[in-house]
Amino acid sequence: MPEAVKRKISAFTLIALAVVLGGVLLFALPEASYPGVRNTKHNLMLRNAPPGTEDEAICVFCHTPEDASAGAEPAWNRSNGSGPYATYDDIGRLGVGGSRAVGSSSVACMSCHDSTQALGVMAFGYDHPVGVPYRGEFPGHQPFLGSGISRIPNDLGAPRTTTGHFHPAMGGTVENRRVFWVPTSPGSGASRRRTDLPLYARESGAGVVPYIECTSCHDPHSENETFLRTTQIGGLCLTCHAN
Amino acid sequence: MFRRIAFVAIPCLALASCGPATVPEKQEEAKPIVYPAPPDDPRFIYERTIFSSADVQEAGSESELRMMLTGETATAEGLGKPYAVAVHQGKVYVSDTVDRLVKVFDFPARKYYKLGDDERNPLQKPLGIDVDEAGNLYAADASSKSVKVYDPKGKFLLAMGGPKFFDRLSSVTVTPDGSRVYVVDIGGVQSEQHRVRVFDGRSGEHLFDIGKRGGELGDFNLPRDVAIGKDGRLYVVDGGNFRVQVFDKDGKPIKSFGKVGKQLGQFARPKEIATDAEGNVYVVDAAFGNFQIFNPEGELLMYVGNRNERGGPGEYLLPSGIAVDEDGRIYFVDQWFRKVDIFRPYTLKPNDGYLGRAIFAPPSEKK
Repeated sequence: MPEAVKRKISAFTLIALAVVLGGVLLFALPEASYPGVRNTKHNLMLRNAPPGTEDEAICVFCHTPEDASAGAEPAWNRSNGSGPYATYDDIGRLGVGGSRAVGSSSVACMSCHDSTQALGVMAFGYDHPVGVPYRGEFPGHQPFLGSGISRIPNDLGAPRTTTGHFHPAMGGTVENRRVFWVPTSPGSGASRRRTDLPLYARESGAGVVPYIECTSCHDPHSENETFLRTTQIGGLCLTCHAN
Repeated sequence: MFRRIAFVAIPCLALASCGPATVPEKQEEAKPIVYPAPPDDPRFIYERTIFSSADVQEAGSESELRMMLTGETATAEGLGKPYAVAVHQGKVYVSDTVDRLVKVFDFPARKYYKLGDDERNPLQKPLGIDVDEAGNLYAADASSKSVKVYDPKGKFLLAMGGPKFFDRLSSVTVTPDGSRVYVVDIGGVQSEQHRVRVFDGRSGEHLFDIGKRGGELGDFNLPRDVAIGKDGRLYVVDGGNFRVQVFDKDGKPIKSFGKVGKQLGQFARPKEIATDAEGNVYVVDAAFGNFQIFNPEGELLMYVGNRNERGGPGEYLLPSGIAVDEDGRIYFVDQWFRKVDIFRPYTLKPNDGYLGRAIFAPPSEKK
């Protein structure tokens, strides 16, 4: 093989490799970096805490640690008072590992966002559409496709037209549990990327249904000021909304 | 008619949005809900829930006749997003951060009305509230960064504090005689002003401060609320340090109890605090969906409530405020289900105490 051809192949290979690697990196890395919450308003640590203590304690304000100790014995309730208490689902995976979480991750957000230490947030139709089923099509939802009507109960218990208004969600299974997400760009196939918007599975009469929660749009660990998963204008909204 | 609306329609709206849409089962009347459950001796019994104005107003014969003739339907005003509760002789005050008012459920008078909607001194975002023995109401207004005081008839009396005094106001507690007012500056994440500021209740003059931001005894990280307990001690919820701190009445730190965790006696998201006549201390935890009762020394006695997406009696997702009235009845607010559950001491008769007498009074004796 002539030397010039070898050089051409070699250059072509390098360029191709660069393109492939670049593409892989582009899709593999999250759009926002994840430096932790240290530089955000979600760092509730004391500002004068000794260096080194942050890493151990910075998480506990949202993720309550499991303490192996028995806890206190309630003097008036010795027969059936036992811990640990069931808390809300602060990591967005209901019941994982047999935990006793009751209530969505949105409740965890609102436990601080109550107008005292942080701005107040209302669920339902007031100012944030959290705790509502996703209106788009999603895997497992086929019986209703084509009807133009989602039969997933909405906040008023009535069917609502969805066809054409919302992009379809994707679904998969992790540890025998259904997971759902809305891809941030078309054609990503059945694999989820970190930039995709997560939905949160709940059991209902219609089976396992994906719900919108606070953390569908917000990443509480992000350094961006509003903790949005993407700051691209329109990008976040148009991931789910088709028009 | 009114009660049916209050107990069925409003919970349904809340429930359909927050979880699997199920129609709540009809409450069984026969079996009382007691705390703690058998075989331990019962201390409290679930009594009733306030959802809306309908729970205090009566459908009189006049209005029923009008409704029958005109086809007019009953309407009830519910709670937008309740935060705290205070009670004076059967009159139940609930702060509402969305409707930006204090809503008054006056059981002795069978009336429902609102405080803070006058143009000159409006409440902008009421959070913690308290009452003194004379029945004056003190409201921590977060937006105006002041405490607003109203007389028992709802007339505005004075405002204390202001933007110069507070970074983020969260709560107010007053001594029974109204002489001292303890106001909590939760500060916020980026503030170092985490402290309790003490005012003269009569003049509104600032007297002294308790605490600074920190982790040592007597310091605070995001303090939330104060209750006055045995011997005038102050019990302060130190939310970001996951403990309750105990001070003497002049602000000298004595001790603290609790730590972060999910076990009994620990705290994950502590909120408001109250005390009863024996000095026992009631601490709300939004993460646990309950309140824990401690003796004055901080030893756990029992807990009431559990997390549940149904929102029935004793079931909570986002509890916040608590008050104990003159007779030991407990009033417990849930922001998610927008309700106030009431528990009665087991030894108190249903028709006894200020609330019981007001509810069971014959029509001729109603105020």
